[in-house]
Amino acid sequence: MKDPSPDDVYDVVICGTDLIQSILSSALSRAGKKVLHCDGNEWYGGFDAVLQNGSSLDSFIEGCQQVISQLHYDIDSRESACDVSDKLKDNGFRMLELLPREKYADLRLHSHTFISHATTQVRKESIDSVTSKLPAKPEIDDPTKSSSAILENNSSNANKSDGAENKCDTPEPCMLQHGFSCDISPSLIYASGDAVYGLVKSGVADYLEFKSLKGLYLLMAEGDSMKQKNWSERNKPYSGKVGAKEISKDQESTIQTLDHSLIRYRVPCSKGDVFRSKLLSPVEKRRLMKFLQLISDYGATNESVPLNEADSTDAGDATPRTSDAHGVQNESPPPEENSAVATSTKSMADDAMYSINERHLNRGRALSRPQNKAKPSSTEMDSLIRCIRDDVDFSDFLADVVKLPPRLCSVVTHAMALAPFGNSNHSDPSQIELHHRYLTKCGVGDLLRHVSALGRFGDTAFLVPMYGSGELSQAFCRSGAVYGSTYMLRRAPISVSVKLNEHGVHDSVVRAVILSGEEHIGAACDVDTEDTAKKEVMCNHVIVPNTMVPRHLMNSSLRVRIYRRISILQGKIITQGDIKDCSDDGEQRYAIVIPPGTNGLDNKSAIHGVALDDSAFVAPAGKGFTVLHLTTSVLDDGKDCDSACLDILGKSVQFLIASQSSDDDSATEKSTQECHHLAFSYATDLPLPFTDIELKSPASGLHICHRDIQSITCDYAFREAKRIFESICPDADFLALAKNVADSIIYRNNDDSDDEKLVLSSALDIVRNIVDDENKIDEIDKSNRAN
Amino acid sequence: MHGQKRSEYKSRLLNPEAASNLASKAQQWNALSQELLSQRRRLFGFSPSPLADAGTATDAPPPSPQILLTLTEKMLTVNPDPSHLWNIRREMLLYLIQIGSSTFDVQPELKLTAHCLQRNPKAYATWFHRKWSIAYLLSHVHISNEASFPTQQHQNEHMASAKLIVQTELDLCAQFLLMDERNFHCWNYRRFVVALLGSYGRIVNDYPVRSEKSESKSDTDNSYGVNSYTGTWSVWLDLLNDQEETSTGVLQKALMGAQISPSSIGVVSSLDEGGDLSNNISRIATMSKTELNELIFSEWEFTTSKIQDNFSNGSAFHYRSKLLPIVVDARMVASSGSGNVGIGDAASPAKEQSARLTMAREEWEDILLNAIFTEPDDQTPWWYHRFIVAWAKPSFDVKEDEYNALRANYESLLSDMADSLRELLEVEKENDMDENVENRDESKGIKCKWAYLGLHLVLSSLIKIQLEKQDDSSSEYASVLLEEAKECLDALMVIDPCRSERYKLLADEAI
Repeated sequence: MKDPSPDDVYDVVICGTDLIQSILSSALSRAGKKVLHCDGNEWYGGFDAVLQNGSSLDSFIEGCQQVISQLHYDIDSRESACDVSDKLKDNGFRMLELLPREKYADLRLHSHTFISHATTQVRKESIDSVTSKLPAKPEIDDPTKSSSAILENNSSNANKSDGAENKCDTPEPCMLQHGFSCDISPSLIYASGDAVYGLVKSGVADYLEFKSLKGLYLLMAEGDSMKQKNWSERNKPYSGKVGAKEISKDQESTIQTLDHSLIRYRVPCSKGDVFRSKLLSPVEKRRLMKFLQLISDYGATNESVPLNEADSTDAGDATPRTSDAHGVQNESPPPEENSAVATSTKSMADDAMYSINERHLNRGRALSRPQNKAKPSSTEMDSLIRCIRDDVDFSDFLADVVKLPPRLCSVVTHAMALAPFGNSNHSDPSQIELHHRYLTKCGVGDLLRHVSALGRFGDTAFLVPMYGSGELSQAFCRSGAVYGSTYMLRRAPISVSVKLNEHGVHDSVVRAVILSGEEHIGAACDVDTEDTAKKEVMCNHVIVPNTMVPRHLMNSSLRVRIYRRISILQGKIITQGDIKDCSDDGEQRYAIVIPPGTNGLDNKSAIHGVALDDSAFVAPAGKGFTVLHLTTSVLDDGKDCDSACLDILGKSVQFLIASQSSDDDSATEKSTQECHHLAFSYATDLPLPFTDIELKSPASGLHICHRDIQSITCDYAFREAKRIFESICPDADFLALAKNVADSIIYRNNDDSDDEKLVLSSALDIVRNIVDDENKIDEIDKSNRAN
Repeated sequence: MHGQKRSEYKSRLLNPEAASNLASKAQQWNALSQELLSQRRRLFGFSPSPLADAGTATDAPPPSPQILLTLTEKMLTVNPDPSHLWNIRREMLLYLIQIGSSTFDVQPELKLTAHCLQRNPKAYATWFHRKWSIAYLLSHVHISNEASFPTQQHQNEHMASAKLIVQTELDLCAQFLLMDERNFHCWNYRRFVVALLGSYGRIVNDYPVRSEKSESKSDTDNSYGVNSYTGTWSVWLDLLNDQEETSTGVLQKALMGAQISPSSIGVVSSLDEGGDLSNNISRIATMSKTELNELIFSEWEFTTSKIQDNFSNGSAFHYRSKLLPIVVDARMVASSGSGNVGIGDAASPAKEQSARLTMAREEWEDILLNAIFTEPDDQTPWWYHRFIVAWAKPSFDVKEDEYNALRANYESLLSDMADSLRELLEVEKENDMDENVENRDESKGIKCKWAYLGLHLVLSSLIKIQLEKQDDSSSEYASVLLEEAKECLDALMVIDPCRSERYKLLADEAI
């Protein structure tokens, strides 16, 4: 075969339009690369997509169902059908097969209730788990709601057409017809951090709108907070008998007495939250505040030093990677002198500490100290730095150094650092490899991202993208197209062709990507299907997500299965926001955390949830619906956890509703209930922030991007995209604006006319007019006199 | 704004472009200022300024006050600080009335000040002008001449709308305090507005406002009626309690003085002989006792929510300290039945003092304890703590057995405080491995100065109680406490050497 002309060779082919790939597409095309961006679906976003009811949502569900009918579909038969690869194999090329579209990340649809686009009837479909060895999973829902609507597993269109005959008394069956969309992976973004930085720098933020998240809540068993109750009980006898209920009113809102219920608390992140929190005793407040201030101090002192550089002493290859760290690097002593490192960090800390006291009128003022507070003692900082250096487990650090009680350790790890796993679920920590442990370094890094985003916008550290977080990947794809990326939807990448080197397989180089022919996708089949032939696209780099890569190509040992339940609730999930008396608008934009091992759930890892309503334009408008995403994950150790995890998620929804209805005294408001749900799971590798070891790519030029496991923010995508971008374009600026765009923005922003000057000029005009008028009168007088 | 460095502000001038821009604005400003002053002189027929060109000034006809109003408005939007501009503005408004018009429209003044306050929320002169405008509106609405209000119904409607304006002022304050919850100007204004609401329409009826046009000024100064719109709290608060005993009760406890002087509200036209008319007005416009109570409680709630937002708020705590005694009274009235009966009974000194203690404990447990443990280096809650400790102390004007009960209650509150503060100091000392005495002064780290001071205060109060009891076990306990108090002072002298003399003095007082 002839070498293709350079014009036909793409610099980069990007597979899949998930957020990471979309950011990369935009960034690489900005850096002048010739980019082809393809996706097997007919919508953008991949696992980060926002699905529309009636089109892509149905396609998604049907796509999942197809897997069942294709259980015996195997890659070999597919490979033999691919003549292109056969031909090329003889020429010293090798095909790296990617997973077929239905098998990405081993996606399993467990159960769902949805309205078909063809009828207005509600169907309930229960699908046995993909792996048929499982017994049929018991339905979690309230039987009264769903029993009449249950249809047997009907995936064909024929069944759908006669679905109209099925009587349905599910409330308001047509409610999801219009304007409803749901995210596969709901993502918030930190109000300050990698995502905001990337969005602003790239100008992509212009395509998007955000609202603030109204609250981050924690659901804990009553038993967990007994200590607190005792504490307040102790003080009871003295408290006033007269109508002194101003403050205790909101106490009622958080402490409920429902039998075996979970109690909802606001996660105490900022100074105000800690002050108001009913979760903490006074001494716990002090300890937590000290810890949070220590973390934000650490962040302030390390602003010029990336987190990884702080422990450069134990890493042999501690070469400064970022340019802004070199000032500090020059002063860094040789790695042997640990104490000297500590002192140099300390002196930096001393300098920065002067500047972190409260200066600005930020809302809530987050964690800043009073203006005239002295800087803190350096002993705590020293022990933190020591723990980071010595790879101490985060849980040990919290318990032994910070001296937080176990309950608070769990709150900090799962609700503030937002980590799904602690170390508690490992019976014997010594058996776990170092890079699978949740170290102080990781914990502090995660916590810092949260803490430094506080007080920027609204009452929490998070922003909610409007119209679903799938908008983010669409926005980046749009900007990629503006900068010249080529987009091909409905063309799934089948395999990557690599050229073998003399040295063997592991030295192979990427040469092309094979794309499938245009496919029928989903029910909406009015697509132009002329281009049905497979196509080979020559390229120098390929970016594939780990969800597409077969396991045997990945040399990662740990796999995580992520379970998500998307519930559509009628009613609100959190009615009384806070003490924020009447200013609460009742809009639902909340995040919810259930720590592991919660009484009544026995969840192995934390459950993270996001609840949004039509104020973020994700729920059907105007009818009081709330869309709740609950996510949990398990380390995949071969055992089957499907039914247990799905059961936990189902129960969590009920607990959340219960925690809401008990503080909702007003009889006028209908109690919240789950109308529809969709439960699915997928598997992924334990990603980089956790493992900290760069996974070796099977071929040079082939870049595997890793999805984060269970995260309520998508900041990781920007870090991951930047990592891959830097390996492809080591010297280019990540997500930089083109010069002509930048200039026009500067021009636009420069137009700030001085209104003070305008007002003064207009006043002078008035004076001048008066003088003119007077002069005129004078003239008239004179002329009169003359006459 | 807090923490803005003057040098940073000044550094703008280093940029030649910005500097020339500022200079040209200054030129415009100066030209306008001179023009304004000369217009005013011409208006009042003063001798022209020696600097002005004599020829043009004398010949021209006097300018209209409207032009002066427009000029001041434009200048004040640019710079709301100079009070002489506001003075000229008020002068013009009153002059307009003098030359014929019945009253002036307050709305433009409210709009202008609102605009100026958005620019500079801490300009004294702007806030004053707003107070003046609102007070003027209220004190003149009763006495507008009958021509503008042909029927009594019209007048009532007009009064109701004026009251509505005042009530919206409260919302405006809340808005401003959202932007900066520590703007004491705004807190001041809020208390002013509450005073207006409380006294609205009431006192004028009892003490008809005199006309100022023909009278001397001193006459008006003493008028109770005009006083009622100055922002004092003492006058209208009497009505919360029973009339007879208020002069000694609430008045002394919650005196908040006038914010503007009565004479500054300006001209008051004469009120016709219409006793029955004003009685009818009062039924519509004045607040009932329950409404007043609601007003006080809602203010109390407001300070609570502001403190919950950010307890580093001296203004909110100050307002709270002023509201505390009133709230205690109001609660006692509420608890003693429907609120109309048994007031004398409820207000007995012993009951009042025990209600005080209950309140003090609530404040300690619900607010102070949480605030102190969240951020012990914030001075604000500590000041409020000092106030609470002093305020809750029982006084001797009760029977002896009552006093003993109150004292025991007070003692238990103080003991709880001491326990919590000891606990706080323990936690603070935990990570302090730095035993070197030289490093222990405040500038070198958290050493919890305020907790030591607070503990010392609590201990000294406890000691006083023990000594009062005059029995052996108590005096023994007192000496133990005395030792601990001395340790606090010793620690303070090390932590905070700049004020060591003060701590020495405190130690001497104890002996």
